[in-house]
Amino acid sequence: MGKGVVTERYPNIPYVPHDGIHGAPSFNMDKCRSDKTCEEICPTDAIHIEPDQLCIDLGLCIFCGDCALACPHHAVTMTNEFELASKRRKGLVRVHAIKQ
Amino acid sequence: MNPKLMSEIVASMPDEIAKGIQKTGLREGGVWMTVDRDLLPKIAGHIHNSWGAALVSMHAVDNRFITSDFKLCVVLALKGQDDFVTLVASVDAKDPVFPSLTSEIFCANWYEREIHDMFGLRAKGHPDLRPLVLYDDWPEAAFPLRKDFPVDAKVPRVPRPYVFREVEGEGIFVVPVGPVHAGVIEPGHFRFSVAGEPIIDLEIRLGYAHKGIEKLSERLDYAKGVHLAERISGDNGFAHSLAYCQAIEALSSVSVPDRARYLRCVFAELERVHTHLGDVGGIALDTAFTIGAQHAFILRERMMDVNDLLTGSRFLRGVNCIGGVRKDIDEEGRSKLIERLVMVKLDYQEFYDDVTSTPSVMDRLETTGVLSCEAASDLNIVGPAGRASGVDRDVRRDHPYAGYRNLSFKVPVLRQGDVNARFQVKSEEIMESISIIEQAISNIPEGELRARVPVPAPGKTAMSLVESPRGELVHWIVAGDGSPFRHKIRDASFHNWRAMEVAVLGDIVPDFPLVNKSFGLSYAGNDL
Repeated sequence: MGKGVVTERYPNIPYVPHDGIHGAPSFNMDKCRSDKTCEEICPTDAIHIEPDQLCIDLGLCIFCGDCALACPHHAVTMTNEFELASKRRKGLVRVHAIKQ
Repeated sequence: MNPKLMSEIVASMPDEIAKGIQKTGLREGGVWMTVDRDLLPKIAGHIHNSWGAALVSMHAVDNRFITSDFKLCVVLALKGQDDFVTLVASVDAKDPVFPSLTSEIFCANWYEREIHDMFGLRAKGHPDLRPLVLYDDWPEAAFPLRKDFPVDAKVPRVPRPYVFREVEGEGIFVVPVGPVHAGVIEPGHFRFSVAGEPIIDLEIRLGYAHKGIEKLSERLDYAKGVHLAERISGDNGFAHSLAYCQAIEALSSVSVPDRARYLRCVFAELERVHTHLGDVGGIALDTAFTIGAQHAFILRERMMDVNDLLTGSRFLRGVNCIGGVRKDIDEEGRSKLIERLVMVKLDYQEFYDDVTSTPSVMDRLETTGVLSCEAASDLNIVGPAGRASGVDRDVRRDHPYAGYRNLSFKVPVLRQGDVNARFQVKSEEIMESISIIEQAISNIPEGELRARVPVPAPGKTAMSLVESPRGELVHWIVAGDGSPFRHKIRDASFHNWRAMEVAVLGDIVPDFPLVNKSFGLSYAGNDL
C-alpha cells in the first residue's frame, strides 16, 4: 500500500511548471502596434487598449491564449508565470505603456 | 437515415396520430417532422414506445420575430440506429400552451418545467409545474430565454415560497439538507423524509447556480463560445467544448482533419480517466476508506499532471477549437503519456484490489443505492450510471463521432444498479479509456490539426452528442448572425439527478453521500 512521499514542499521549494502551460500573458510593447486585435478577440474583455496604455486584468483573464494566437505582430506570448495572487483587486491589473 | 425507415416510422402510426404530421423531411442527422401541437405527445409517445427511442432533448425556440410563434422541439434517438427523429411543433405566441408529454415520456417532466421557466410555455396536464431552474424569488412573468428579455436585465426580487412535497404520517421526520453544504461544494437542497432511519422520500431542489449560459451564448461569437462551453461543467469541459465545436462544424458542413479527430479522442478519454478516478476516490472516501481514497487521488493528480504536460491545462481547456484542436502531441509527449498510462494502470489495479478486498468497504457498496433497470430506462439515465443499471447505451458506440469509429473498445454494462455496480463500471471504463488512448496515440495519422470553418449560414440547425464522463450530453444549435440564435445545452446530469430520488429510497441518510458520489453528478451542468 505504501506510496512514499508524493506531496511537494511548495512554496519552500519552488514549483517548476511544465513548458507550455497557459500562465499570465506577457505583452512586448516594442512590438505592439495597438491595433486592438487582442482587445477584440478576448472572450472576457480582460484587455483594454487606451491611447497611451494597455491594461490586462488578470482577474478577468481565463488564460485561453487567444490573444497570443491572434496578434499579427507577435507581441503577446503566454508565459508560465502562475503565482498571480494579490491581496488587492487592483494588484491583478497590469498596465503597459504604449510606445508611440 | 434511409428514406425507407422514415416512411416505416410514419406508416407504423395509427391514422388518428399520423394525421398530426404536417411535413416530413430528411436532413443531416435524421428525420424532421413538423407536427400538430395537440398531437405532439401522441406522436412522440408512439416513436418512444414502438421504436424504443430515447428522449435526447426537448426544448423551445423563440421564433416570434421570424415566424410569429414559438417552436417546440423534441429530439428522439432511435434504438440501435445512428439516427434521430426531431419533432417540431408550433406554439402560438398568444396562447403559449402545449399538451404535456410527461404522461407519454416520463423523463420529459423536467424538460417541460424548464421550458415553462425559461420561455413561459405551459405544459397542459403536467403533474408538477413548480419552478425548476429559476430562483425562488424570480418574478413570475420574466422568461429569460425569450428574445425580448435583455441579457443584462435586472429583475425585481419577488418572494415566492417554494412548496415542497409533504410526506405525512406517525413518526415521519423531514431532514432538510443544503443548499449550503459543509464541504463547500456546489449548492443543492435535499429534503429527506425519514421513518426511523430509512429514507422514504427524497426531493431535490436545484437551480441555485443558474447562470444563464444559454442566453449568454446567444451574444458570443462562435469562437468565443468555445471558451464558454469549456466552463459549463468544470471537469467535463472538454466534452462540452467538443460537442459545441462539432455542432458548429456540422452547421458549416466542415470535416475535421483526421489527426484532430484522433487527438480529440485522446483528450476526451484523458478527461474520462481523471473524472472517474475522482469519483472512485470519492466513493472510497465516503466509506471512510481514507487510504484507498488518497491512492485514487494520487492517480487522479498524475493524470491531471499529464494533461498539463500535454496541453498546458490540467482541465484540458483551450485545446478544442472550431475545426479541430490547438494542441498537438509530439513524439516526446507521446512516450511520456504512454509511460504515465502504464503506471496508472498498474497502480489502479492495486487500488481496485485494495477496495474490493476490504469487507468494510464492500459491505457499504453492495446493495446500497439500487437503481433498477426499469427506473433507469424510464428516467433515461445516461452514462456509467445508466450502464450500471443495465441501460446499454454509449454515444461513442451508438452515434460515433471524432475518431471513435476506428477505435475498438468495450462498453461495460452491469445490471445490479447499486453503488458497487457504478464503481465497477467506472473501474472498467478507466481501463477501456486507457486502451482507447493507447490505440489512438499509436495509430494517429499525420496531417493538419485544424480545418478552416466558414461562419455558418443563419437559420441552419445542428446537433452534436458526446459521451462525457458523466454520460450523454447534447448541444443543439440554431445558427444566428455570427453567434447562435438558440443554443440548447443538455448535460448528462440533467437526466441523472432524478435517479437519486429513486436510488436512496430505503437506504439510511448516512448512505446518501455515498450514493450521491457514485452517481458523480454535476450541479453546474444542471444549473445552466
